[in-house]
Amino acid sequence: MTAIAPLLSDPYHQSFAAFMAERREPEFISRLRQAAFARFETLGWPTRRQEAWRFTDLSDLQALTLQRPSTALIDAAALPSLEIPTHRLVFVNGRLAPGLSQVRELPERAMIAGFSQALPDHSALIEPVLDSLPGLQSHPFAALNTAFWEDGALIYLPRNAVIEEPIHLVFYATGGDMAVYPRLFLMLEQEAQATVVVECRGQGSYCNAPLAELQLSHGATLHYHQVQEESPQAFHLSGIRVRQSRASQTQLHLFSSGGQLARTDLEVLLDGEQAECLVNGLTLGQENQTGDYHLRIEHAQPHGTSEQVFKSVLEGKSRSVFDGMIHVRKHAQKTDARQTNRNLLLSRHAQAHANPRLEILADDVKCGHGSSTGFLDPDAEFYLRARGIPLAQARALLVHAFAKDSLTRIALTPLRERLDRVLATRLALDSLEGN
Amino acid sequence: MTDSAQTLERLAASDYQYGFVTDIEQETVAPGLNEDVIRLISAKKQEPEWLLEWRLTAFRHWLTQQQPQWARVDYPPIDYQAISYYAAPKQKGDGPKSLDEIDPELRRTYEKLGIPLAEQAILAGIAVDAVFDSVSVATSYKGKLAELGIVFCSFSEAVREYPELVRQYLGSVVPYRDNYYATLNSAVFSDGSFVYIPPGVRCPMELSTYFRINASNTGQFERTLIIADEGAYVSYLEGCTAPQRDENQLHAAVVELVTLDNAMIKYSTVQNWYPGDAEGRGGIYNFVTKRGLCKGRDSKISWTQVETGSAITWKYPSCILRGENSVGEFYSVAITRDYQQADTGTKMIHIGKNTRSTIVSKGISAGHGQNAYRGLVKIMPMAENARNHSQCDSLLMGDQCGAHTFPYIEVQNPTAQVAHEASTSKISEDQLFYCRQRGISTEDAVSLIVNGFCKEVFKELPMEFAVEAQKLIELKLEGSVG
Repeated sequence: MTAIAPLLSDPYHQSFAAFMAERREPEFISRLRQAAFARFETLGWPTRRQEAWRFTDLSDLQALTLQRPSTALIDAAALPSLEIPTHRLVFVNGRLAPGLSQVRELPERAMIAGFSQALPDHSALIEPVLDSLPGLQSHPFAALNTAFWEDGALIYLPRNAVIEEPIHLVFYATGGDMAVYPRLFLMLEQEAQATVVVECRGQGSYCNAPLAELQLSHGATLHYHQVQEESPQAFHLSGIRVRQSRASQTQLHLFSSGGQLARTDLEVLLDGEQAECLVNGLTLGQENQTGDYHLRIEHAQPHGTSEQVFKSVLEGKSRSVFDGMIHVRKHAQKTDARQTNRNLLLSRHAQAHANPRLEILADDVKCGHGSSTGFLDPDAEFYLRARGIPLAQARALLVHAFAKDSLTRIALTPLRERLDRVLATRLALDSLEGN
Repeated sequence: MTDSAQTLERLAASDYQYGFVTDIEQETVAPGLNEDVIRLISAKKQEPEWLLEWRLTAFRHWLTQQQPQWARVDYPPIDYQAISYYAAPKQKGDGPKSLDEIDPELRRTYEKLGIPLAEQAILAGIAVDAVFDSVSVATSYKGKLAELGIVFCSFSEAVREYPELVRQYLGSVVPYRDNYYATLNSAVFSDGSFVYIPPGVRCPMELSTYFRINASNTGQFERTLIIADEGAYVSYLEGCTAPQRDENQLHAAVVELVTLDNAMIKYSTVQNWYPGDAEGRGGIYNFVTKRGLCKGRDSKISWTQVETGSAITWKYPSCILRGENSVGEFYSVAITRDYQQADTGTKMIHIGKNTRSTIVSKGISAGHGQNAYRGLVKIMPMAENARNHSQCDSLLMGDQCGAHTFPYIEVQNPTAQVAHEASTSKISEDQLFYCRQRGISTEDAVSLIVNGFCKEVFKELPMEFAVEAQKLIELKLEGSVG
């Protein structure tokens, strides 16, 4: 595939052999790992000559992905909090930290646990479904995650189970040039409902490559939030793949403000009639940051609805990349799919790349997309200044309004308010709420 | 639409009315591509040494290139050694001295096509340069244009008569290394049109080239170069047809446009190459590189295209907006039916300050047709206050076809404003019902709605062309819905 792949495969081979030698786990997992590693070898290390990686410069990252994480302890004060009762699982350098985690009372047969804890008793439940979703097959970091994950979160809700408290997952990395591959597997049976918040954080230099698999049965509802506030030196390469059955609903909220390079690859398969999916993204970029999103919504069945709304606010020399695809299969008639990408460039050196794509093979559909990139509207600026608001404040107000539109879609109040504060700090403003 | 019965009858007889073959003595070079073939083409055209060198450099570069795979089109690999790279109607003596000397058989071909050559040209007021397979057959209206200092001739003639101009501008917009097909064209291009409008001259008539592929197993590789000097204006039309054949034929053209200060070029195409039969056999592979350079300030390039033919269309007429305040426009209607595939769009590269571009693309898919819009809008860091608006609409007719949109938007200057919108829909039952209720037949209603859908683009075409395009689309979509 690429010229570099054979050169690299040797150290990866050694690393993988050493990793496999220490693992004590059921055979089906070893098989998955072997298959994933083989897939990574065929895919090779992504280069900028590949269309999907054109804007993602990974040259500084290669060495990092080989370093195995160390064990470390962190202070509970460093962890983000939602300030309301939650089920919390904290993973430090990819391993569950039981002392920092707490799972409250759950409905019967429901499970929120670390993989390492749950595997011995529940492999019959996990085996048929783990790594079974079709998405992200050509994503090298999804393959690396499956080959190298050590621990992760397992969330299972049986039929009709509704969990009110949010499930709060923290993937924390303590730095020191290493790669962590946390994993999330979530399965909602018929009519089950859950709210999940995944927070990615850390300190120093590291690569965080989490992979989430989300499966929803008939009528299930999931509100999923990924909050990426990695350290400024970190690389974040996350993968999310989703399969939705009939009449299920998901809201995927992706917030990104940290890391030197943050990329999320998302694939949603709407595999049942009347499935609904909202993907809502907000990227705040400054200095040399790159915020990179690659989405694919696959409409496989009729009457599906999907909406993608992505916004970015870019300062300094930051860059945003939005590559969104709506793919409507032949018999997915009556699909209603929408895609919006809006980028606000606040500095001379900021860059936005938008690539909103539609591939439509059914004729009775409503599909549309729009993209706009630019600076603040001078008329709006003038309007505010004419009312005595200084220029700097007027601009901050307008930027805040632009970004806040994304936050208002988040139903989880404590998270929305916290992110709004992050936004306000970025814009050097006190929260404008209520003014 | 009163003659719709007639139209139907015409259709029943033949779907592609330009599918005839002209029996004419052809001089063809044996299939195959190597340096000798290129030397031969160059020698036949009595080209200067520098041009031969340029061709050979391109050819050597082509050997190192690979056929692009990124477009959303699907076709078996092309055997470049099975194609003949030169086909010319055999000339008696030294070639025609005036229009009357042109082979009558050839004249009849153009008459069948409705090309206003000779007297017809005067009526229609269009100057035509007709390219038959590889060579330019005749150029009408030459004298009248020459009075104004306008040069409108075949490319080979331009190489002989105006070598400095050709040498200065050839490859300046589409360099020989540009892409696989442009490089191939640079190596083997046989003829095409050359236009030069001197400073301050407004070309009094529409200039037009008609391309036709006649011989089998040949490729057509024409090259067009249009230069509008300071303050000049020209409107240029291009039309294409080819006979019906079962095998696929390759058409890989290059068009280069250059506008200097305050100049404007309007380039319109109605492309109706043979699209293949209803099962997808045969048809033209239309792999074309078209690009314009707005070199001077306040200059403008406007592309209008109606793409109805070809088995595969791979074409991205582009504008490089280098001059300050320069303007680029792209208006396109692309129709695919049966097994046709189109991957078409534009590139707008904003370099200069206050540059503006507009993109309007309408895609219509019917039958098993696949229609993709692929476009790039790039705002470079120096392009202060650049503006772009893109609109891409797709209309789907039938459940076997596809419509795809792949816009690339790259903005590197915060003062730029770039907006893109796209929609995909089908002709709604409500619209049809509304028309039928008022006594309009389904067929006519569809054509009415489709014409409305394309109107924004058609209004950019010169009038005769707009009428032709409208008819062509009616013919094309006959029987697709209902």
